Amino acid sequence: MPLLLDLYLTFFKIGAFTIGGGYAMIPLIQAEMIGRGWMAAQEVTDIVAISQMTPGPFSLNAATFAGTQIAGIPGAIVSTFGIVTPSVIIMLLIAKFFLNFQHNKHVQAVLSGIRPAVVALLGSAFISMASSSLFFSGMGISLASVDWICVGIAAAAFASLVWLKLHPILMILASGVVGVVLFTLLGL
Amino acid sequence: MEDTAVRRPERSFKLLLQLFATTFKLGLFTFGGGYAIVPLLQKDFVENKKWIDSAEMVDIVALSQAAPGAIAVNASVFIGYRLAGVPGALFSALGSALPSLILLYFITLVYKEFAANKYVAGALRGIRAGVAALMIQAVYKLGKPALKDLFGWIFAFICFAVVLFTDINAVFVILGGGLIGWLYSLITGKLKKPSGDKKGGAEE
Repeated sequence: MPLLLDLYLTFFKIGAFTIGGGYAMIPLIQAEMIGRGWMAAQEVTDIVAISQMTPGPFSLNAATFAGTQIAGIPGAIVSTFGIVTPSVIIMLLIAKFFLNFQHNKHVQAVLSGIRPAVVALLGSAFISMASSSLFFSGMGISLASVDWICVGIAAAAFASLVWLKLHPILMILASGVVGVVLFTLLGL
Repeated sequence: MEDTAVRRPERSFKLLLQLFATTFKLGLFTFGGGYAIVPLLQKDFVENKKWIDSAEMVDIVALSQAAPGAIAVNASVFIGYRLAGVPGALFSALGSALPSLILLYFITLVYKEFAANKYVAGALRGIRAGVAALMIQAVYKLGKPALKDLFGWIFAFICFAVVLFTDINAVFVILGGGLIGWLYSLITGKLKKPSGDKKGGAEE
């Protein structure tokens, strides 16, 4: 099979079978990349690290990284499209079903339980983000390991979002600039 | 913040381009994990453009999380389909995928230097703190329309505890939530069928 087709199908498989969020696909990526001799174990670890430093979903970032390393631009394109294709197909089916049946009382009943679950998951995503961004890593969660400058940035960000109604994208840009000034330039 | 009624945009090629541009823009700024796109979708599609209402957004996030694949891509496909059918879904999917493809391609070429770059590190440290603030605001903005009664609130806290203290996969939390929601409706009599009514049909 030509490499590009193989890449596409491999990432299609990874995208189709990963349930529950990007990081769940790490074992699958490892198995496929290393098993096929496309990447070394260290490179797979690098994928994870880099994908966390870049915007965008982890799965797409990982696919592009791997595809680039394996086959340059065509590899990047094919891997990324591969991992995205199952999403498109499945979500189109789900959307069509949902839009036809959303007023059905059984669907509404199911949704009445799903909505709180989603809010809870969002809450736990907040907890994850807060614990990784507001505490120094490797020191556990305690008063001693609080990254107070980051707490200050988060508080300022919150104030700007809620009271200044700052657009989230502007807030993110501003946080980045503040980060560069405080941490890189001033070395805090 | 009061939601005024949504006005669905007129379907046109311009709408397709707008969907592409919006999902592309949001994809560029989604830092910190799949859920980080939720507040961006909320701000753009619900508050600014008013093409989707907040109650719908909760459902979109739920379905996007439950389905395999990245939440950002799933949600983009759903919203695109909602607003402009299959073409809308495709333009949105493309918009959500291209920022990663382009950025990561270039970053991969210099990734060792990128990972070691002090400007990148400083910016990220600030951005991640900002995203934490964004996430807590998102919990409030989605929580308000999503949790309309005592059951909703209590169940949300139970789910939160489950997610925090167990390793249960998010998808099972959602599916389990759906099942429990259905059972609860059954028990509280919300699913009583008038004669001649069939399960599975669309109802008004």
